[in-house]
Amino acid sequence: MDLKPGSNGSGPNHASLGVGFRAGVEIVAALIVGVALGWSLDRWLGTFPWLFIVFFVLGSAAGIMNVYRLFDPKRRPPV
Amino acid sequence: MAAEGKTMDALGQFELNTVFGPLGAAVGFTQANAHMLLAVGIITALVMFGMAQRAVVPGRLQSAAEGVYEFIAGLTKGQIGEHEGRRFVPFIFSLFMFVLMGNLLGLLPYAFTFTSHIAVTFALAFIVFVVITAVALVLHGTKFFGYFFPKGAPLWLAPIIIPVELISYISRPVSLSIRLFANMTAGHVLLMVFATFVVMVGGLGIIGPFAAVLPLAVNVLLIGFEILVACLQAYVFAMLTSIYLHDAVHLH
Repeated sequence: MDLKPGSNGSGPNHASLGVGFRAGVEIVAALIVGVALGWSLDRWLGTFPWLFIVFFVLGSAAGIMNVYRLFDPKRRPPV
Repeated sequence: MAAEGKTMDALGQFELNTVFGPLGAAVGFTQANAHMLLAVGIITALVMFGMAQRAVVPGRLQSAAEGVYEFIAGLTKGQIGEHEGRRFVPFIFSLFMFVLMGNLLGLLPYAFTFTSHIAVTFALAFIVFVVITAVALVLHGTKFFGYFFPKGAPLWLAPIIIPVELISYISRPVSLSIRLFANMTAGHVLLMVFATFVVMVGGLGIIGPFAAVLPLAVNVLLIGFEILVACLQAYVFAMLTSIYLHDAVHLH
């Protein structure tokens, strides 16, 4: 569910639902990557909770940056 | 599989089983592999037979093949640039057609949706990830690593910005694969749930068959919606790939 080709984002509910879904997926994806990185680094270095916590925060920041890029008018895909 | 007893098995449709008897079982050839081969076969047949005639006034098959190609070529060149985009058209065309065929084949009765498995979508997204990284490295060399630290940012912010940018970059294939997988899985679960309702409600004595028309009508609407989602998700996959390739080529 995403922006319809050629709808220019002016469509009613379906387009906005698609953008909302995309934003959610972007945040979750960045969190998954951050948590996976932190957890595996912790397992490798044996410092269990600390890198996990740090990378959790970094992952959230990366997710928010992904969403910011999604709405950045400069990088907006010219659909 | 649908309504055995009073339970509902909406996820059973995603189970992998081997096909082609003992030979398929020996090599672990599942119905997902069979559908992938079928999709590749259909795409190849469409392009080969569609373009066999090379008529000036195209027939139906040729218009279909040309239409899809023009669509993807326009999308790629529009995103990446008229000149640089040209060499990526075959890559994005293959990806788009494979995902589209996977989504659409899965809507046929008895068919299996291989794009509803995260292993498949992640493999596709990982190919995209490797390609965009390789393209950026080949075109820009070590300047590519400047991507992770924007020019003009204060140096003391580097320990925060670089990991965040790195995670944001690595999350691209993850979000690409989750989006496709989640859309296809959710759609097929929804279809299965309402199909099970038809069977369950239909067994409720005299009024059952009349009441079962309701979930059946919902399923008819859902199939239409799923065809839209199938095309849209293939389009989104292709478009995001070309956006990432744009970033790799122009680097900003």
